[in-house]
Amino acid sequence: MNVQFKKGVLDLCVLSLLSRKARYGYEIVQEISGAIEISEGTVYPLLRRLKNEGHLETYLQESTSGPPRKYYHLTESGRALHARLREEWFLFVGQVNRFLRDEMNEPPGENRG
Amino acid sequence: MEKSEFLERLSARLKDLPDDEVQEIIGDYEEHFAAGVEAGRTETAIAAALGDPDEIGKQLCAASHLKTAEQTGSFAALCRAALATFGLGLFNFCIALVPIVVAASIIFAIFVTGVSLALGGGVALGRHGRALPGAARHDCDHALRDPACEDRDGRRAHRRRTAGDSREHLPGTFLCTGDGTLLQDEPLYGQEGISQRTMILRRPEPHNRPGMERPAPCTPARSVSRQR
Repeated sequence: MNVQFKKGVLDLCVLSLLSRKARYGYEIVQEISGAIEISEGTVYPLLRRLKNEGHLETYLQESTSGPPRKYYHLTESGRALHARLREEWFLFVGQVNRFLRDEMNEPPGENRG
Repeated sequence: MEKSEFLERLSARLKDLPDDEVQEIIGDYEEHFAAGVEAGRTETAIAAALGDPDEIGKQLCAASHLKTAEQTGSFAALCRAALATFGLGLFNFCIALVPIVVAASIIFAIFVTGVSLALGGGVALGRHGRALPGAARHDCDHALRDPACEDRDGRRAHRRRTAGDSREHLPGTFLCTGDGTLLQDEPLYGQEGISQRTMILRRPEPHNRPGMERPAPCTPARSVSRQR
């Protein structure tokens, strides 16, 4: 898929994932890379940025096996950002879909209007 | 690539970052490897899926420098951020351009304000928010003694100063407009006296000084007000 498409929606996907429950890094990476083809390593810089901007917070929690894991969860500002980006996304996709449908309905070679 | 090679190449890219930040980043990827191995993947497979550690390092560097530039307002930090972002390729640079330009314009605005205040132009605005022409630094060291130098409450300029101020009796350099209107009724001591102030100047009333080309400095001082 187009790299530029992915960059734009990665934030939204991470926020959406964390809006359901807190998750640790590896889990987030697996969920995202299961849905979108990305270099898994790029998720961590994104998590750091969202954390620096105050949209995420982290806490450590013991795991059943191995060292404690860093869990990420949304802050109030993260929830607000998620709601805003989600709305923008649906609006945007709706507009693009309408545009593409118009194109399909248009008989080729003719110019309407 | 093994885990150790991945982490080494990544930390080599992060050498400009603060130690605690590097440790946190490396810790995140170590945790990722541990969780992956636990899930039954090999280190090599995990490293391959993570992607190029050099690319990841560049991204993290650019983000960190940009954060520092925004927090400190330092021009050097901003340059580092711009350079680091250039390393990501043009597309990324364009994305980062917006915060860089915002940070740059804030720094530039602070710089320009500082310079113009230092040069004594001040932020001279008329009562209706218009800029007054001819605002310039004007020596008028008699202002403390000049009975005309009163503030708008009718107090003389020198009475505003607190007793015990060791600078009280020093001759002052006052900030005036070209037509002699006092912009600030306290003497300027180097740049510190003006750097943090925005001065709002009332326009001289038309009947005050008709036809004066170069009036005596600092009169009438009734037309002075100031906002801290």
